[in-house]
Amino acid sequence: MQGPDVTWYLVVSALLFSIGTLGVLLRRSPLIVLLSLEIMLNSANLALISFSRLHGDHDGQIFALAVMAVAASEVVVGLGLIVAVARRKLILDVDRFRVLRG
Amino acid sequence: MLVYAGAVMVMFLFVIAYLGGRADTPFEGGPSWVSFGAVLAATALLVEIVVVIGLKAGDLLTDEAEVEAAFGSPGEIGRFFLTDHLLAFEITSIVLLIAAVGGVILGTKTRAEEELDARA
Repeated sequence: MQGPDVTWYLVVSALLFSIGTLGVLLRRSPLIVLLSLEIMLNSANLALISFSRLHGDHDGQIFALAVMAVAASEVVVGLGLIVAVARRKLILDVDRFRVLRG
Repeated sequence: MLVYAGAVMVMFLFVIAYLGGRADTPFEGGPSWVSFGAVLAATALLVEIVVVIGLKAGDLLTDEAEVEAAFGSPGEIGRFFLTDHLLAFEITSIVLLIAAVGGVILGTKTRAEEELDARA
């Protein structure tokens, strides 16, 4: 196989997952938290695809595509919630979203 | 892939533009132990995964399967989606449909919001 070893793909995946975790834990804006969640999901996708290549099996790639669809749905609903909150002129801060009551 | 690049990233750009400067709550620093704990947790996670990869899986990751050139090509993946993984394909389509409907419902104005706008 051309290109780097599978190990390096996994290391990049771990790095992306840690960056996503850091973003979710540190940032307070719900937009940035959603973006960090996307980074974490994509690192899982990278691991799935590299393992799929390692085993020569297609199932991992199919699973990664399903994960992408779920991520897209999650972003649609999350961004809809953020826009709905912003339209009510509330403060966009994760720590203040204690209840989902108008 | 198309769904991802098209929908997700364009949606993010649109919402960031829509919310403008209000979107990013300034980083208030907060209690320092919170950010310290967050950095510690993320670093521990990274170190743990890398150590596990390095120590436990070193031999298993070297013997790679031999695959033909068509492995992972779009045509191949599409064929697998429509034969072996048809159920996953259909469930994915239903999930995307429900998400689209939910996005529209969340995006429409409710009566309470219209009253809020009328008062303002």
